Amino acid sequence: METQVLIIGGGATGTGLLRDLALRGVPCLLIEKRDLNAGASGGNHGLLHSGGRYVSGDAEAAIECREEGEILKKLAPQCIEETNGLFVAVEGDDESFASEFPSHCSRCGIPCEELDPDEARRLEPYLSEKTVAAYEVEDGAIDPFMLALDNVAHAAAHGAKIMRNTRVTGFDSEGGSIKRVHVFDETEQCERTIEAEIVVNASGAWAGEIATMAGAQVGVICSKGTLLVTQDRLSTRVINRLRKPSDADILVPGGTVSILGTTSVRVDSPDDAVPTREECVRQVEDAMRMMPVLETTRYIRAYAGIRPLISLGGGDDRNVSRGFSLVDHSDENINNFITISGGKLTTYRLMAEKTADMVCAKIGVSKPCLTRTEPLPSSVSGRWTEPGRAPREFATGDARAEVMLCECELIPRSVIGEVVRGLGDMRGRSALNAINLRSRMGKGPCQGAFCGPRVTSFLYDEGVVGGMRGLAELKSFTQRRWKGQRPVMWGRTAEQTELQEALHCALLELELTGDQE
Amino acid sequence: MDLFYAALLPVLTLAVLGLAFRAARAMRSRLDGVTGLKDRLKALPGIAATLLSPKGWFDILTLRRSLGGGPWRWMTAALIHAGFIGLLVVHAFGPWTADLFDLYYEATLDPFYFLRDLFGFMLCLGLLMVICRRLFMPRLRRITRPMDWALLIIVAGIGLSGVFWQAAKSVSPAAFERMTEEYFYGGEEEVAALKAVWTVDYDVVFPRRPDTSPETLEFGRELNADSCSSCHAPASSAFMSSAVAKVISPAAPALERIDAAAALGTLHGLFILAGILLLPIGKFAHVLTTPLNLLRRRGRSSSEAARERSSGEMEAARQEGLAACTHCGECSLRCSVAPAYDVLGIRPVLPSEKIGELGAYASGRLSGKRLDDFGSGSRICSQCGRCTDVCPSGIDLQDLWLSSLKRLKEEKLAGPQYYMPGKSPSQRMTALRGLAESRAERARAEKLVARKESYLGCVQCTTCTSVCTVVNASANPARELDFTPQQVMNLLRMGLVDHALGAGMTWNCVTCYKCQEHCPQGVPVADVLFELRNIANARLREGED
Amino acid sequence: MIDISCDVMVIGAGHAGMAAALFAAQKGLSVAQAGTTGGIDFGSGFIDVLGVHPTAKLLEHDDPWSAMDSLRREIPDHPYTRLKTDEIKESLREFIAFLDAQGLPYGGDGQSNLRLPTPAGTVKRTCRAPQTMIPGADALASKAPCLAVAFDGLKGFSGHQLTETLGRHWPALKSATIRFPGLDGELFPEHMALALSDAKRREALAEAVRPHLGDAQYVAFPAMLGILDCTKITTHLSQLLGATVFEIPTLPPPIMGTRLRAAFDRGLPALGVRTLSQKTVRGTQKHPSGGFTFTVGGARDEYRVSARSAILATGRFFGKGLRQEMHGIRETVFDIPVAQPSGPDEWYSQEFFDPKGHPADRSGVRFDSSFRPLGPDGQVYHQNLRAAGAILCGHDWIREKCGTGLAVATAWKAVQSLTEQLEGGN
Repeated sequence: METQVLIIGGGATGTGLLRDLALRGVPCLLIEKRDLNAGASGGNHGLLHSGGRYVSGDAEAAIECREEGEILKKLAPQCIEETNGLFVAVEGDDESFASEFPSHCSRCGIPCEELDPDEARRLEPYLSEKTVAAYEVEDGAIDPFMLALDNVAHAAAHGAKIMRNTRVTGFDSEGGSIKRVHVFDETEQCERTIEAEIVVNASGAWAGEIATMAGAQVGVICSKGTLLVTQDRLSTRVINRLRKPSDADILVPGGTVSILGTTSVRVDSPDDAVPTREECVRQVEDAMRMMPVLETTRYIRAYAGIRPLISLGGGDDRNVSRGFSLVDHSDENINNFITISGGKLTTYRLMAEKTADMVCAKIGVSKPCLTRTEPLPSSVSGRWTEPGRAPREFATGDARAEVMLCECELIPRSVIGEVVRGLGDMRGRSALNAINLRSRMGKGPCQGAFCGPRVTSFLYDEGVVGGMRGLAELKSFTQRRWKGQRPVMWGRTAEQTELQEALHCALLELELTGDQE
Repeated sequence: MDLFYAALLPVLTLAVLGLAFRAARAMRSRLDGVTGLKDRLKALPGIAATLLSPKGWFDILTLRRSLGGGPWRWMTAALIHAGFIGLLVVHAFGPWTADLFDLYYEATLDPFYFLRDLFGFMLCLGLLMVICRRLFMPRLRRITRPMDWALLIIVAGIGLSGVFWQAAKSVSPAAFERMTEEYFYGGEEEVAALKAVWTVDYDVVFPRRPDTSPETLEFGRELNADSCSSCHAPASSAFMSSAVAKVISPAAPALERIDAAAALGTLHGLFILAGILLLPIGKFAHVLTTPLNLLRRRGRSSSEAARERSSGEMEAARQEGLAACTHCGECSLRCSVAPAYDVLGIRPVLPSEKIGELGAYASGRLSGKRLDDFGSGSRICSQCGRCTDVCPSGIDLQDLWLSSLKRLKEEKLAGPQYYMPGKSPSQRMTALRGLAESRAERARAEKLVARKESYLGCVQCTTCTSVCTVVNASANPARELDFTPQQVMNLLRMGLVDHALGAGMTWNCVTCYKCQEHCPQGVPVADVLFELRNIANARLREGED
Repeated sequence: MIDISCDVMVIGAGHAGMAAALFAAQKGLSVAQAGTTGGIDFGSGFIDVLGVHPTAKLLEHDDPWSAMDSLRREIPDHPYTRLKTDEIKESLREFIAFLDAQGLPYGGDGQSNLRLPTPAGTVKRTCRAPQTMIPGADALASKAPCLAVAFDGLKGFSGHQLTETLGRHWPALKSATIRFPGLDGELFPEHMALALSDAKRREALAEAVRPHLGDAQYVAFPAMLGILDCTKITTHLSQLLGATVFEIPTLPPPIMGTRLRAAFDRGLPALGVRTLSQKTVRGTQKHPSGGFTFTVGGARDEYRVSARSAILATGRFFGKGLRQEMHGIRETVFDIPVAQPSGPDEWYSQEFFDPKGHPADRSGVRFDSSFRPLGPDGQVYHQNLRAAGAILCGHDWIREKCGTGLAVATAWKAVQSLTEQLEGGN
């Protein structure tokens, strides 16, 4: 296979870069080991930073966030909810930090409005009565899945290509450049070779591994962040703790739920994205001082993402710059290999722009970047990931002879059918997991306890699965959900789980079912 | 007396004119869209069948429909009716009745003398029971109106004035003097003996009590038998007036001086004239309209009557029904939503009040708060039919409520509950969207819909939907209800309150509470649906203001 | 506040609670019962005695009784170690007799496990099953020609799924998906069951099935063939179709739950049980002389129950007998110490389908041979208190497949022990 630019990695950066290059008319191909947003882009807070979090420690990052945030709000509004945010300090938090906050903000040009604590509690009734200071900023909530799907769709409309389930197995280098990239196509179960003029390593936490395969050196520190998802949305705005940045500082609204996070635990491998109970309990006990309801509310699951931090020095990983790192490996005698890593979701577009600029300089393309001005069209494939979309359409639609397959999120059979048809030939990959990625199915409080078996029956009816395949997929789907449920197993969640285990094991005896056909 | 007869004719004329005017107004009023004279005339052939209806007459004569109120209620009605009609027959029209039976009529002669008091006693006893009922039953006391007391006072007045008049006449020696001068031929000794008899047997109170020794009495009774008793039965026949006479005898001289007898007689006449004059007004007309209505009803139940074919006759039946109300309040005592009146104080919640307003509504005479209240009362009515079952006047109340509802719906007065279920969800949401939180919502301390804690326990088991009676009754729940109960809970958990308010489920829930009684996780499903509907109703109501 | 007094207060209305109330009432004791729904309402109707042991090896058994002998040897703290086989069989016999009298006959010989199809297309072993499901075992074993009927709109029950999974070893299994006569859109077993009480509807259903019959000797329906009239309906449909009709359980909410609830809601009050439904025990007072006072209520305290004795049958987490908190598991009524894994991280395995099961599922109250719960010092918590069902520690009813059997048997033994004690004058 041939292309001009090969992008390795289908996260926010990779897909953003794909679009940027495609808009400049550069033929490009993106290969991704698993599915879109399989790394940090699929395990983050969904926060569109106003920059307020960085004003005291990293002014550069703060300003970047503000600028990029404004661009994204204008150009990709479908992926963003302009919720605004509050920075809130409670009794016992560092008073001087709180009082210096507004001046730091204005230094970085970040709008920040002081609020009376009573006013803040009127706006956000779940805030603690011990709130002593509050400031409003322009935070937002962003949907990284819809963002990636929309970026890919727009890029594809301009001729770009993407291959999922395709992982790099090796590089052939000659004379100071990469000639061929060897990959394994999991879907077709065959090896392939790709020839490209430029190879971009946008594989996030795996950047070190890919670079090593190419003969380059990228030091990546893997920092795991665990987040908890609540059953319902606890605040209208993003709520930030007004103190020196630490764990459990932020509660971000994610459509119909709230997401509490995060931690920063150094792990050895980028595949080690397992949220632990200890991290979850610790965060709840800390954040409940800011919002007491966090102690008693119901958490439906937890998840973790691995941040790739490019090591620059010692100290707490949080102090490693969140700024990104764009490396031209010509210095290591591979002159058509670039690594882009680090950064945060909010600044993905800027990272892609800088990378595309470097790529274009190398291949002699002089077209300017269009992503600063060109709107990102909303794509069909991203449609059903929006929380509440399905019930809203269902409620006001005319064809109401529907059967709900996912009760939690009110997703009817027709929508699941539409998503399934868009999947094409699954060839061994789990349809349930794919549906879950492209819609809200399994993301509600029951976490697949009921919708799993129901959608499995539907898949059998539609002939998408046969033999014992459907049951095997159901088990793997349940196991994936379980990874997220296990760390928040207390209270109501434990009740739901016992019901689920009673259904899946006591009645359906799935644990006794072999995984082989 | 002559004055009475002189006034009688003009008063009767006025009464007849008044009744005619009332009937004419009834012809113009409409409940169900039928106004044309042609339609009304179509009802005429039915009148013959109506007037000759054996079941109707049976109802009138036996007061069958009063049994619905219980045996005491029937007893009260029977006493009053029997008493009053008896008085008419043996007293007011006594002479004609006597002719019918070929008897000699004298008011003071048996059987008329005795019967008059008997019927008078029955009437007074019935009236006493009615008055006690109105005074001692709290809900009745609250709704009793001046006109109710007016009718009671006039009827009681007729009865009591008659009794006292007779008593006053009995004790009066002047009457004795007059009578003996004209009809008795005897000397002093005979007169004295007669006086003795009349003191003992006829309650007369002479200024000086005559000698009433046994020999005098024996003598006197012989004389009495010859001269007086052909026209005068002894006082014991008129047991009531006799008892009263004995009670007032100490005051006899004073009464004599003020000519109490004549005064009471005038009073008696005045009460009667007043009763006749007031006949066309309000419930006074029930002496005519109620029997007419009972005949119109022909002993049928409400649902049987509903199968009537001619709309003209139905409309006529409705107007007669409206006029037949005696405001007895039996319906309101049994109304199943009456507690709403106790709490809200909206009178037309109660059927006895609503029917009065209904007449005004039908002729377009209601507006402002009265119209609002009438709408509220009609809306709160659950159409259970108890009032119709128990109405002693046989008014087809169920039919009245249903026919007025049609018009109320058209005029948007019946409340959102009547027009919202028929709309689509997007239409409902459009109606509700943008409406501010109502005062009622703000005042409510316990908010279930807005509190996420309400839904925290839901495990998506769909038990609430499975046991829901409304879902069970629907052949296609998604089409008819849009969302099932547990789907509404999920909508609310996701913050989609507008969609929940627009869902058919919210508007069709019958609050049977099965969902809540079966939910294993304590989600207050029924309470939430109830609150949703109240929120929607309150916002719509305030939005219209 | 209404005052009630009774011999036995049964705390819990799940399988163990209902069984305890039943047995106590049949012994002539006066019984009050408090509890919420969600126990029997999710019941599949199967009476599992023992299906898998040891769970770590996923070893299934056809003979529950010999498996139980092994279990008793290998898991000394298991509730079954305090029960003799005869006692378990007797308890089941009485339980089933009650259900039979309510219109829910049971099948199975009670000696060996039946093998029955599930809606997922797996095969489940159970000791006793409702008679309406029993022919499924015969059909499965004989691999006779069978038609599985699914309904468009009944979620989680797919004819294709059954033929793809069960059909691998049962080629004569065919399926058809039809409309349920008279109902459209989403279907629920309870609504279909109520509709089938009308003979005309059954005829229409048979009419819709007939074209797909072929040479089927059996016809499998999702479990929705009536509530307490299920025998009549199944028989009638068998006649109409000329084949043996049987039921396969559905996903929740299951019709057997509705049937069990109807049976107990009617049968227990008839035995004099005073049921405080959807109400929970909110306060307890122990009396030194023996006996308890419980405050029972829904949104607020409504009843004060003076009981000579009590049976704790509150279930595990879903039953709210145990509450999982961030740092420990607590027993919710008396706060009796809970036997539990050492730390919350040990509660659940990383694998949901871990053959060993989840240690948290074995937590519960410790108990003596009479099923009296043990307090903090290892002594009996209260002489007149017993415990039954999932609240007992040491067993994993979900993985061992012993849920209903253990609930009924422990309830039976608890009532035995209480009766002896109360009659002995305590």
